[in-house]
Amino acid sequence: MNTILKFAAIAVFIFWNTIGLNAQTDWGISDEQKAETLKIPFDQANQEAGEAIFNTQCKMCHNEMSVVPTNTRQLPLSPNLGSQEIQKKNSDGEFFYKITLGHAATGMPPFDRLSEDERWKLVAYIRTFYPEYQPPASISAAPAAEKFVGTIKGLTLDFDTSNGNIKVQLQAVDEMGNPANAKNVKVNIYVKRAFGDFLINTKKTDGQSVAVEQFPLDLPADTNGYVTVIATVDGTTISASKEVKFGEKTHYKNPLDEPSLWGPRDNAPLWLKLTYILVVLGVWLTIGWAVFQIFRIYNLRER
Amino acid sequence: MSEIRNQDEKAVFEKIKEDLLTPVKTKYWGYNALIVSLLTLIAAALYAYYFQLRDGLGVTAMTDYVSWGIYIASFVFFVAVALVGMLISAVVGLVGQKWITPVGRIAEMIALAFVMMAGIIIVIDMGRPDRLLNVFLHFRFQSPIFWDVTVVTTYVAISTLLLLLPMLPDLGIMRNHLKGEVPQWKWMLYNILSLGWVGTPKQYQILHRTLRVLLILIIPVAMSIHTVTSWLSALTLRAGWDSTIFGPYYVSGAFVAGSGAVLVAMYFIRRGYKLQDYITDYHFDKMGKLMVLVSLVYLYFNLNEFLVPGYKMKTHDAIHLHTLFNGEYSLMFWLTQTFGLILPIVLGLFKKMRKPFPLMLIGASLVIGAWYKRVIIIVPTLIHAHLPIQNVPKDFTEYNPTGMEVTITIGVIATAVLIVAILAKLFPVVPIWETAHEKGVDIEKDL
Ligand code: HEC
Repeated sequence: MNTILKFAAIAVFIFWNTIGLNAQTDWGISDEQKAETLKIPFDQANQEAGEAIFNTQCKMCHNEMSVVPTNTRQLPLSPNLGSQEIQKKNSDGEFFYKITLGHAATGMPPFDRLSEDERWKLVAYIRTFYPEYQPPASISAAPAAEKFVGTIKGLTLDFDTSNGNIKVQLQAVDEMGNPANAKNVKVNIYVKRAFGDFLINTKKTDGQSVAVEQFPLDLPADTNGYVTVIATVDGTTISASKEVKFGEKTHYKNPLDEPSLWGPRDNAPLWLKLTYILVVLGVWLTIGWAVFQIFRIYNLRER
Repeated sequence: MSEIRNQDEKAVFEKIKEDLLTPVKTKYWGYNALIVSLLTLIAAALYAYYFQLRDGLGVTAMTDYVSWGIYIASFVFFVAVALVGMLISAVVGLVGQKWITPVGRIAEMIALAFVMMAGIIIVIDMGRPDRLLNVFLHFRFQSPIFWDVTVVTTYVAISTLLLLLPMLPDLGIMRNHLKGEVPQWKWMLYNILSLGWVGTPKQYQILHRTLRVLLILIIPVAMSIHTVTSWLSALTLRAGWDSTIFGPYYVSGAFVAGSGAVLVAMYFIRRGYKLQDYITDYHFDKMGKLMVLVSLVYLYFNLNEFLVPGYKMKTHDAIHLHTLFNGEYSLMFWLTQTFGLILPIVLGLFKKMRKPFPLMLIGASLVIGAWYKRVIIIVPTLIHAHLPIQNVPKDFTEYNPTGMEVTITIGVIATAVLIVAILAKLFPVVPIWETAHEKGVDIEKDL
């Protein structure tokens, strides 16, 4: 009896898995996990930190978020997380574990390489697109950081080739027009890539109007060993860029440089050239021999 | 005793010579009419080609999708028909079949004419023929088009030799006996081409050896000319072309087209030149059997070419096959398969049908079918773009050849026929010396 039950269970299990229902809907999140709530304060600092992570890690698939009733994005398949339907359906815990575990069947990658804190920051950021959101009462929000009032005049970009530190220094004036330190201003740091600028991070300036970011060491330089770093002040057109020699040189191997069937003539594979030349030579030598025979016949004519 | 035999032999030889040389000497009303009508067609084609040169390939119906139209289909057709020279003289000849004597030269003439036109129509298919030289300046060893240029040139060379060499003894006879009977320029031509042939045993020995080598050489060359032609399509990933059997499929199809052409030519030459004693019902019967044989082989390859992908119906293949089986091209496809393959096989199995007239009709059906078959191979594949271009005009997915295109194509076909006609008038179509030899006449004495 027991064995029969076991077999039946296995059969159901296999059936369940093979018809794919399981794979389609289940993110593998337990009820306890679902019940979890935001573990960090729902405040500006965390939301902005979450935004910075979202911009570098998620935006390439999920695109710009916007508050909409339902997700209408067809392509790419990654939904608009600002959809109110999705916001309502998911608890904080569900968001957190969906980000953590991913969904291999549909293409959402797992982000367990981000720290727990970072993942909660992502949740905090995602929740800013949900007007009805009620953050857990137990955690009090920190007061919002004071905003710089004044005008940014420009920025200078410095790159330390010894360690890859990108230093952005802002020049600013206060409301009266006197030079001032611009604190808490968002600076976007990019690296130029083939098809656009690649956002490395969004940083806030400190009390000295300085934002520092480490150049990612796994980002290769171009074929000459150069990278172009770009910094912009968020929400303005102020920017600066710098070309520096840093990082691993890209070694581009052009497949056309190798002998190949698709390459130019000079790179025809040796075996092909040899075959062609030998066959053509053989045939035409025979033809030449035949023509020579004609001459022999001609030489035997009656004189 | 031997005196009588000698006289007998002489009489027989005189008759053969007279019969086979009459066409060379005589003026025929029908022949001249044929030449005039062919020249008219060619003139019309030249006129149309002038417009194509002036305005570019826009005067054809070819587009970015269907960039190979009836020109390239005709190219494949010409190459196909040209292969018959190799089939008859080399394959059938080398296995020791004696009946090919009066057929071999006709086949060789057709081969030469058609392979030359294959080269011509490629140039016509070029929007800028003045850039032809670039093929040789900027060729790539990797390109099947370059291989094709190579093999076509080679085949022209060998075909010329295979037409000329076996004709040397006949040219010697003509030089000796036709002086005064034909215009002076003709006699001069025979004189030069005969290369001083006097028929010494040594000359015969050299001739036989050279012929043997060339007949063996032409087999791989002919195989490769049509295999490479098939690779022009088959080396792509396109549905309908992406096939491993395309080489043999083309070669076997070529034999069908070629034997059809030979049947038609045999019939009209025999009637026009009154050669009933030389191209007999027996020869037609044999050619008919050969035609059935090669058609059966082709049928077998057709079965593989259509049944195998048709059973699996892979996405892209399915689109292509439906176009042929029950779509846009189904009428052309089934008519071609019926009249260009099935019917000739079935009819050819009956002895009654292997008579000159029915075989001529079957041959014509085969040739026309062969041309349409090449269109079916080339065009429908192109209609379904492999990588669709965005926002293409609707008419990119259709191809209806324009009047210009058709006129030019007909003109090229007419040129092929014209060359055959000229060759068949200038030279004896049935070899005199071989015929005499078979009747036991020792013609070496004559020369
Ligand atoms: C490779 C593309 C890709 C990246 C990068 C990516 N996602 Fe996703 N994401 C998807 C796809 C596809 C889905 C839809 C999965 C499904 O519905 O099964 C999805 C679904 C989700 C969901 C669940 C939505 C719902 O319907 O419940 C959340 C939450 C989410 N992603 C957050 C993130 C966050 C946060 C990041 C960055 C850390 C991220 N994603 C990065 C592709 C991606």
